[in-house]
This record gives sequence, C-alpha cells and structure tokens, in this order.
Amino acid sequence: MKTRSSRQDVAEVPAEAVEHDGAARRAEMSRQLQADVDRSRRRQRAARYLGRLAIVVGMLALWNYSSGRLVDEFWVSSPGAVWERLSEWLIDGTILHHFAFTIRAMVFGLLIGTVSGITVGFILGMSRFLSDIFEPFILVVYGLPKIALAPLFILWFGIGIESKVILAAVIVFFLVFYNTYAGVHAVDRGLLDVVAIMGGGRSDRLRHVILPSCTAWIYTGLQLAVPYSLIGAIVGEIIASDRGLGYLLRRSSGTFDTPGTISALIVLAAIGLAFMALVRLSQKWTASWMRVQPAVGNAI
Amino acid sequence: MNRKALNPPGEATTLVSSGAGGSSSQSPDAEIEFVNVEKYFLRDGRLVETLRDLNLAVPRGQFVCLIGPSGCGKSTLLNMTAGLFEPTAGSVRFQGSPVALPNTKVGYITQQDNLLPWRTTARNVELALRIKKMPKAQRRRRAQDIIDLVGLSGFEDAYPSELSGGMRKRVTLARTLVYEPDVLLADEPFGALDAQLKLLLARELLTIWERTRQTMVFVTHDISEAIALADRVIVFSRRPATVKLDCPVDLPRPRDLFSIRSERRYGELYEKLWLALADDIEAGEAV
Repeated sequence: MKTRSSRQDVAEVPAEAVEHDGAARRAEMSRQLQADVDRSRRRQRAARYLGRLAIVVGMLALWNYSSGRLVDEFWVSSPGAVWERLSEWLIDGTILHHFAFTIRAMVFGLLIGTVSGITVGFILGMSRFLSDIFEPFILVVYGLPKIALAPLFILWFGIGIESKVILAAVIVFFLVFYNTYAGVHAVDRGLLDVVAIMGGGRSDRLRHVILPSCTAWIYTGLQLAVPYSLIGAIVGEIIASDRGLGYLLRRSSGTFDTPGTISALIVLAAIGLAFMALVRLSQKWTASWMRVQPAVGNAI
Repeated sequence: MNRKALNPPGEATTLVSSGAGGSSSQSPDAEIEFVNVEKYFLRDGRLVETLRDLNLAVPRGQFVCLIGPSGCGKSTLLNMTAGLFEPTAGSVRFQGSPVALPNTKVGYITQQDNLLPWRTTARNVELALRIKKMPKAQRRRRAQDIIDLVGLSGFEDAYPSELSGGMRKRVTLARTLVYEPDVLLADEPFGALDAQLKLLLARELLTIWERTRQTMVFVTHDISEAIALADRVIVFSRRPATVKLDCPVDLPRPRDLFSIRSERRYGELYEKLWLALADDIEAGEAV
C-alpha cells in the first residue's frame, strides 16, 4: 500500500472522461488527484516518522534491558542514569560553562582561519610567481593531518583557549585557503574576455568576474569549515584543557564516569546537528549559482 | 592574471612578430580588413600554422558567414578581430586603424554562453552598460527594451542556470546587442542547439539584424545557415587556412528562413559551397 506512487494515481484517471466533460470537470478531477497525492504523501511522511520513533524507542529499550543483564552497567550505563546526569548538568550550569568555552574557541578559530584563508588564497591565486614558490610547502601541509599539530600547539600556547583557537583556525585556514585558491584558478577565461571586450578594465574584471566567481568557492569552503572548526576545538580540549566539552568528555571517561561520557557525547551530537541545520538553512538563502562548486581540500 | 587569461586555453603561447605590418592596400569602405595575415601558435612545443597569407575585407553593414573544416582557424580570425590576440605577421585593421587590444567596438557571441552565473538575466544584459557607467535608470530601461526584443520578458530575474539552452542564447544575444557595438562577431552561436530551435533563433537574429544592419561576421559549419543569413559566404580551406571561395549570396531580403530552402537559387549556392568544402572535409577525415 505504502509503495503506491503518485504516478500511479495519475494513471488511474480514464482518458475519455477528461475529454468528455468541460473545464469544471477537469478542475474537479485535478483537485481530486491533488488531494489523493497529498494524502499519500502525508501517509508516507507519518510512516517515516513512526519508523524513526520506533527505532529510537527500540534502541533505548534494548539499552535499558541489556544494561546490568547482558553487559555490566559500568560500561554502558543506562538511559535513566544518563538522563539523570544530563539534567543535573543542565541545571547546575556545567553544560553551559563548558559549552561557552568550546563555542568561543570554535568561533574565534573560524573567524581567524576564514579571514587569513581568504587573504592568502587570493594572494597566491593571483600571483603565479608566489604560488610556484609556495607549491611544495602547500602540498606538504595538505598531506599532513592537521589534528596532529594539536600537541605542538599545546606545547606552544598552553592549555588555555589559545591553543584550541589556533588549532581550529589552522584547520579552517586550509579549507578556506584551498577553496579560495582553487576558485581564483577556476575563473572562466571566457568571462574575463567578455568583460574585456565590453570595455572593462582590471578593476571591472576583478569586481564582476573574479570576486563573485570565488565567492561560491569560498562559501563551499566555509560550509565545510564550520563543522571542522568544532572538531578542532574539541580535539584541542581532549588533549589538554581544563574547560570545554572535550575536557568534560575526557574527564568523565578518565574517571570511569560512563553516564558523564555519554552525556557529553549527546551534547556534542546536538551541537553538530544544530550547525548542520544552520548550514542547510544558509543553502536555502543563497542563490542557486552558489551551490554548484565542488569543495576541495582535506580537513583533518 | 589578465594578459595571460585573455588567451583561450590550449593556445599557450602566441608568437607576435613586430614591425611586419603590410598596410598598403586599404579599401576605404572596409570595416574590418585582414592584410597578409599569418598566425602561428606554439602548441606542445610544435609550431602550428593556423592562417596563411590571408587577405579579406569586410565592408560596413555586410553580413559575412565564414565556413570551413573544423579547426581551420575561423575562430582565430574572430579572436583577432576582437583584439584578443595579434597576428604573427600582417595586420588586422578595424575601421581604418590597427585593431585595439581588446577591441571594445565589437560584440562577441561565442559558442559557450559565457553568461555570468551570479547575475540574473537583467543584470547580465546590463553589464556592459554598467561598465560604461550609464546611469541606473537609463540602464534599466535599455536592458528591458532589449530583453523584450529577444523575447525574454518574464525571465528578467532568472539566473542562467534556471534557463534553457535556447533562452541562454537569447540572453547572450541581448547582452551583446544592448551596447550597440559597430560589429557583431558570432562563433557558431547556435551550434549546440537542436535544428528547430536553431532555425527559430537564426530567424530572430536575422529580423533584428535587418533592422540594425550592423557589420556581422558569423562563423558556422552549417552551409544552409550560412546561405540563409549572409550577404556573402567565405569558404576556408583546411589549416593553414586560406580563402578558398568568396561567394556572394544574391538572394533578396528580407528573407523567409522557412521557405528559402525551396528556392532554386538556394540550391545552386548550396551545391557550389558544398563542392568547395567537400574535398577539404574528406581530406580532413582521412587523416
């Protein structure tokens, strides 16, 4: 039943009936068809949500059942215990305290990385000479997992917020830099020619072709950079910190506090989800031409 | 970024020999004039001779179609007229003086649409006027007139990605017509479209042209399109390209593109042009 597609609904209308009667009949028919399609869509959506709910409930039930029976509660905790810990942390401000630290590290890293990435991307993108000089260095860093720099940054900048900001900024920098750089190189020469023939000078070409062309690439880089800046901040906190959600996670697991560990993970998942929703929203707001660029660069 | 970027891809190095400008034979009426033009490209270290000893004059207001085997250098000719690059030897003269680099008195319609994807139809059409610093209100009005002329009313706010291939062609046409260039260059503008749409757009182009009578240089590989549109068809040989046949089209104007093919004179011209083209095309295929 549920697999019946809307196309089959349309096919069920006998053709001669449409020809026979006038416009009113046709209008009535199309209204009815639309109602059918709407109804089946609603039904499908309800089924989808029900299915998802069933999975969540099933998982929780399985977790609840197996905890203490199949697996030692010490390892997996239980839904009730996690809920208790989570609400306790929410009420006493623990979550807020660490959340604020992580978000601050992330946002500063995002800002610094974006601005420097765009700047350097343009400078190297526009100058053949400079990009030739820097190419091998860029390749070396491209292959390096940026996360591996975290211990060094902690050594240099301490266990405070600075080392987390720097780590997030470095990850963001490379994502935004690669995309800006690729964007400058991907500028369509045909478009530059068109503007030149129209009498456009260097500044017209920059303003009407090069900058907007790169905007789409930078935007794509930023979409990637947002979740990865969170990774940068968290990893920095996990390695060495006295605040932040990453620290909360490590402290909980370090003290064999399984409900705490799972609670911290749940908060992180929620933050990730929120950022994904933000990125999706921003996609809706941007013009369609912005969405066509492929992203380049490896993040971590 | 700029000078380099103006060369089409694949044509890495342009050889320019200075001082070899034979500019003795000037006809006063010619809008565009090629005098002893030669053009070489360096491609993968190999010297490719594209044009050899080309002499050609296009009078003001003439509709010229260039046909020839693919890759024979027709586009090179247009690019030199647009001042996108210089001849290796000889000279290209435009309205009596050497062609400017780039030549801002031409409008160039290429096979790719080359529309700015971040600009809507209206803003793409306005671009040239904006570069020429025309006041906004005036710019809007002019653009709207041209948009109506090419039949794009109602699509002013659509981005190129939201338009069909035929509509994008219309935007390209509008964008070029809007600044009233003295000369229109068209490089297989309807090449990628299906046959019916091609005919339809060619008819509209002709209608507009019969009103404006700009000098037109139109590259195509379609003999029937060439005859139907042009005052004069020039057949090029294989590379290095020389003029193989210079054939006036003595069909009366205004022309009806849908019925012109049934005229006897059309058939004769078609046969003549096909004969001129055929052996080069066959020779090209055999290689």
